[in-house]
Amino acid sequence: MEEIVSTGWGLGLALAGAGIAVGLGGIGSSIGVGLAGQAGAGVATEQPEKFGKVLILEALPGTQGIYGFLIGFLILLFTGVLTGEPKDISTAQGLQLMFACVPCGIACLFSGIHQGKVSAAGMGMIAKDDSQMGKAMVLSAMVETYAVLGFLVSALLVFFIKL
Amino acid sequence: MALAEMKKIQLLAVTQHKDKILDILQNTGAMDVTEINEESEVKPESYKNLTKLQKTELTYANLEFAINLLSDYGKKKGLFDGPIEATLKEVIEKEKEFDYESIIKECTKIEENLTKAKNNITTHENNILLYEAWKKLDIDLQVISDTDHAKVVIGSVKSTLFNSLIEKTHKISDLISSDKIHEDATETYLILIFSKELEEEISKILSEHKFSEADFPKYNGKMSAYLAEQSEKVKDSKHILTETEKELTKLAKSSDDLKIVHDYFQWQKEKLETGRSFGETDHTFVIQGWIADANIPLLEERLEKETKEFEISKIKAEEGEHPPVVLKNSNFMTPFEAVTKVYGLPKYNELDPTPFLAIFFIIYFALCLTDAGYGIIMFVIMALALKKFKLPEGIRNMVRLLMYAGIVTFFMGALFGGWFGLTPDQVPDAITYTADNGEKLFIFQKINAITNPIFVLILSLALGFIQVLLGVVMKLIHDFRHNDKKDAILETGTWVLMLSGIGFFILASAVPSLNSLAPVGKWWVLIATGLLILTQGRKSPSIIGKAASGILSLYGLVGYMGDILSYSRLLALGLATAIIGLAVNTVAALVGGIPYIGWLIMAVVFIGGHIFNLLINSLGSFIHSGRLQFVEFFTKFMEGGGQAFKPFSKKTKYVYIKK
Repeated sequence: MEEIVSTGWGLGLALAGAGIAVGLGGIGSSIGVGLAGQAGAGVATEQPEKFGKVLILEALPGTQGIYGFLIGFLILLFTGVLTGEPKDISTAQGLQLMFACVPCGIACLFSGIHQGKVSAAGMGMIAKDDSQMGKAMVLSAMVETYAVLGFLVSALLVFFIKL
Repeated sequence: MALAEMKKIQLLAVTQHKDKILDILQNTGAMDVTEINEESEVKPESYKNLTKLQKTELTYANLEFAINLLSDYGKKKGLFDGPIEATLKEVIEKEKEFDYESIIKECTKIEENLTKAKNNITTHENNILLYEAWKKLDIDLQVISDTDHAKVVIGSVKSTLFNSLIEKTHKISDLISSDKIHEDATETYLILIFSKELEEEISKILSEHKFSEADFPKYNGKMSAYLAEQSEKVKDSKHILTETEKELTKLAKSSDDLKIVHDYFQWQKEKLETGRSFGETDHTFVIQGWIADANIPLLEERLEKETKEFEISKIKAEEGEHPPVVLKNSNFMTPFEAVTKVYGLPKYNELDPTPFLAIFFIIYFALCLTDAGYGIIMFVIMALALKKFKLPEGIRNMVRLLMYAGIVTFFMGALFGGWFGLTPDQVPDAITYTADNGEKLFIFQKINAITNPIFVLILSLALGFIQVLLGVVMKLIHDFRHNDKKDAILETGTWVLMLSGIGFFILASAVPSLNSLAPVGKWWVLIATGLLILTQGRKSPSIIGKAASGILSLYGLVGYMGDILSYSRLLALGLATAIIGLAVNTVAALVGGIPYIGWLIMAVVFIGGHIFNLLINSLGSFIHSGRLQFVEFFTKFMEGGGQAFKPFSKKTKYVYIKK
């Protein structure tokens, strides 16, 4: 990757954007999955046969990290870093790309944490009655909406910023 | 295509046929038996069946215990083994032939031995841990005791404090003997013998040094012998453990039979429990319950084969009692009931949303996944599962649903050019073509979501608009038919006019050939707005109140707009699948450059990555297209909260009953 030589700040800013998206999304999901996992471990100790359902519910707050990763991946792809032939990006373009990553990063950070809380509460539902699984998943997915919207806006911005 | 019509019936029959009638009811499985209300004229049967019920419950619990105990020792069920199969007759005969009681007895005995052996192992192992350090103590344990003048103290102290302890004690008097027995990483074990006169002073020093006194077991012999005996006992208990485990493995061979008998007792239990909710007089008894109207003749016919001494009459539901809900759909639609049931059942007087959500659900699912390759994989796996396994009803419906979803995803994926996240440049030219705008596309591909996401966004919102409008129209039709007609039109009809007007206006403004109709749309919306202001506040008492709530009702538009915008997730989730696929392929190509084993790692990354993508995104697709039904669609026309129909029937846990 020694070919990555750029004249201005542009590429650096764009990469900082990728960092924001992947980093914040990852934090949100780690906390969220962590919260859900703690509650889930309790359920799985008492009722190991529900492990499959516990695992699915725990995985739900994990999507925020994926959304963040995707935006980061798009930046790496479009700036040419991934292919080893980075494009010459002006400082203005770099700033645009960086801010394009912000909606996804922030939305995923908070939505990941809170979806984790709802998932953890849902563990209580399936501990009592695992036919309530669908409801627990839908409740949890309500929180994800805002991460999806953040991801959508960031993706559209990254697509449409002219390089 | 709706909810089945339910009737509450009362079955009156002669007591001597009670058992047979119960059997017929349970075999038919068409009636949801309700408890007879104490206040109604027929009194609930006295509890004379109680002992029989208790006995059955005990056997049932014992069977469950035995099955659980044996479950770890039997041969593991392979992935391709279905459930146990048996006919009704075989199950009943099995209960008579198979000596389950002796197996239960043996299981209870073995379980006792198991617990005992396990407890022994822990006790003796703990002893060994506790006294291991004293192994070198070369005295008979019985001998260690105080004499008339001397006191013996054994115990341990932190190794760092050992020297100071010895020094201080020896300073007091010469009449002290101390012997260091053993020293490990932290503790030093010692034995102290001193004159009884010094006891007070010495114990003070000992407590200063946090000396912990040891309590020796009562044993006639040396410590090493004691330890040897303990490990012998552990060995013995372990031997017993393996022996009992062998016995369990032997017993586990009959666990299939136990399971069949278990299900038999489950029926008996339910039968006896149901029997208690009957009313009874000296010669007759009465059962009340809900049954689908269409099933009444069937039940009558079956009962007539047994006896003519019965009567079925339709009765009124008690106050506050709601009929249970059964969804009744065509065979093709049944799988979609699984989606409805995730939300819960509609109320008895509401519409069954299943046939209306089906097409939307499956299109949304496909839009979220949009990969033809994944679609094929999903279809093949689900079709195989359906063919190979004998799945229980609920799971079967889910599998069928996913199979349909696989097909639609395939077509949707082909339309959007999703083939395992590959780009047209990466595949042979034979399966690509060049579009009018010079873009290289897959064959069959019409839309490129990555270069033209706006089109997909509009498509998503349009689908959302259609579904939300359909929801409101359904409420209008349902209210018009079942409630006050005027209210339905004023309350909901105005909103239908408003929403369709907005849709028409946007369509006319956006499509160039329809531009001339835009003014019509504008007037349409304006009239609808006026009607909304006039009608929505009509229930307020004062004129000002009417006007205010009329105007405020326009705020409802924000709600509809929010609902429709929520459908933009279809684009986002579709993009997510495509981009994860792209990421997997890019990483696979990168590791493919590693010399010699690159192709192998590439294959692992490619296959593993796509399996991950398929799993995570089909889960996401299912939840999110489900959510669009529950939150955006259902709320327009139904409340939900219907009570499920729970027929008195022969339910099984382990056995698949062959017809």
